[in-house]
Amino acid sequence: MAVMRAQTKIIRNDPWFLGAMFAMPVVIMPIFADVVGLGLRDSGFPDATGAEVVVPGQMVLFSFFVAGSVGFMVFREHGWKTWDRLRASAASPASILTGFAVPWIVVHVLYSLGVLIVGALLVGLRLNGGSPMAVLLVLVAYAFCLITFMLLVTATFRTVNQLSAVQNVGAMLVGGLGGALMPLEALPGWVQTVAPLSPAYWAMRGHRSVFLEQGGVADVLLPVGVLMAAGAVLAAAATVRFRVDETKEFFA
Amino acid sequence: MALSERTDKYGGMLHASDIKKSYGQVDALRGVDLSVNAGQIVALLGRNGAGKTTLVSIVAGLLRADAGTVEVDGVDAVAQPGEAARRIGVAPQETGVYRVLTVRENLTFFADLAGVPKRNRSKQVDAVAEQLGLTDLLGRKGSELSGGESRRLHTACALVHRPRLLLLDEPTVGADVATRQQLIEAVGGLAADGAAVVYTTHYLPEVEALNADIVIIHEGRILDRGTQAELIERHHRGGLWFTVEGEPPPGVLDGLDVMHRQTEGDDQHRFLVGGDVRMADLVDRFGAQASQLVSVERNLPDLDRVFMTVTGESSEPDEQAAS
Repeated sequence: MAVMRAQTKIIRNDPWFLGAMFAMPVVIMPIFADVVGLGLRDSGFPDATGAEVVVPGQMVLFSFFVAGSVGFMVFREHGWKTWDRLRASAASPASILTGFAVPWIVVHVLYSLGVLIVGALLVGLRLNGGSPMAVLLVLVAYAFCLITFMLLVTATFRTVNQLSAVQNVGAMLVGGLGGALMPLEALPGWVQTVAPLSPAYWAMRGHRSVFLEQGGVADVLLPVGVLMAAGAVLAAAATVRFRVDETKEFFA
Repeated sequence: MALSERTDKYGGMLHASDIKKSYGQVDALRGVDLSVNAGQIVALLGRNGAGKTTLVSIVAGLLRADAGTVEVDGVDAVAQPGEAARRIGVAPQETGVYRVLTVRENLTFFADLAGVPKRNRSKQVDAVAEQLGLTDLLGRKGSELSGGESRRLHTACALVHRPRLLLLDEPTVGADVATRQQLIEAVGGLAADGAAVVYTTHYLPEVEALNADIVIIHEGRILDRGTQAELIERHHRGGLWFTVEGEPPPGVLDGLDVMHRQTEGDDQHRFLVGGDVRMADLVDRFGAQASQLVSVERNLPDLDRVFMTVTGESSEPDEQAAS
């Protein structure tokens, strides 16, 4: 709990990155909403504005960068030379990992909610009868999956540059293949085939159920289940791979 | 014999036994024993690479020893690392503080991490801040501190939970005189309150100021241990230092215990002769060539020279004695 509390304070004291992560969706959402709305209306959703796909899409895409922050926090501990102090404390490796993961899952969910709210204000995203609880479940499951994935990446790589590369390429790859950049219907057949391998696909599927098809909790159980199961596997892998005594280089 | 029984026998807060550690082909520690009692300050004295940091890191749980046992306050540090860690305060060699947290937040975090109950945290943070001159800086972020202030905070983070065993790895590196003084006073105060302290350093004056028990470690072995007075008594050889212009006249060195010889400048030679040689006798040996003598001085008791004698460093008398 002590690590968790400290990480929460660190995030609170150094929030500029999260602020910056709002800027891109704010710029992109109005640009794409009309075009995507046109496509959705042609696909059998006559009342669609485009916000139902563009806003969750931008949120799913940019929250990948937010998830990467959990890794940067671990690397920054090495840069600040505080990592050894954590290791020398009574905190177990598992509690250190949890101490990093939990605050970032919460931040990830809050960030995602923030983007959805901005989307509502900017491009008119509405629930239209969809379940807010279903939205929340998808957000939590997606946050869990991405944060544990980034912890596995952090446990695997030695330098912050490697982490940064995975974050940047991963966001585009996972987001693109999962239908966060463009609706899957507009993408080639092979992308639609491999899309279920991307967590973004399941997050988008859940949000689409709610925002476009007025779905409830029952309608998002499959995507939520897949994301939670993937997150559990990733968490186990990260725990097994994580070596507290490994040296990591922070902008060496 | 169980570990706890052995600790009882030694009565120590720390009992490290037969610690061995290698890095590849390099033997960093070759069977080190170290016991430290409550209220005792032990200064680990050694050159770079002697094994000081490796030993401290093993006791702190940062490194795993290849062999040997570490017991802290009766707790087996290998079998119960968490329990041992609660009893230890460690300030590693490199300054490590949270730059985006304030001084108070840093101290509170380390108190929290060490299990200090919430009701006591604020009091203990204020106390350690007072002790290390950080009271006026409590609201300042780590990134806004000077080097000396960061160093004090770094050490304070190790002290804040009032550990029973304090491990300080070169705590005064890069610190100014005032910071050094504050750190020494704080460490002395903690020992007076009953904590055992292991303090690694290169600075001999600090060892004297702390009135520490000195452990000389060299190439992974502990060569000797004792108070400053005991070490000087055991290793100081007395004698005279003298400097001669040119080669000493024939026969002058006959019968003298020449412990050290070195050339200085173009044609001056400096000698250390051991035993009870008196200055007047030495001058008499030069006779008419006494004008060759540039200087004569007593070889005074000095911890630095004792250290070099024990470790066989480059200016150690025996190894460089005139052939």
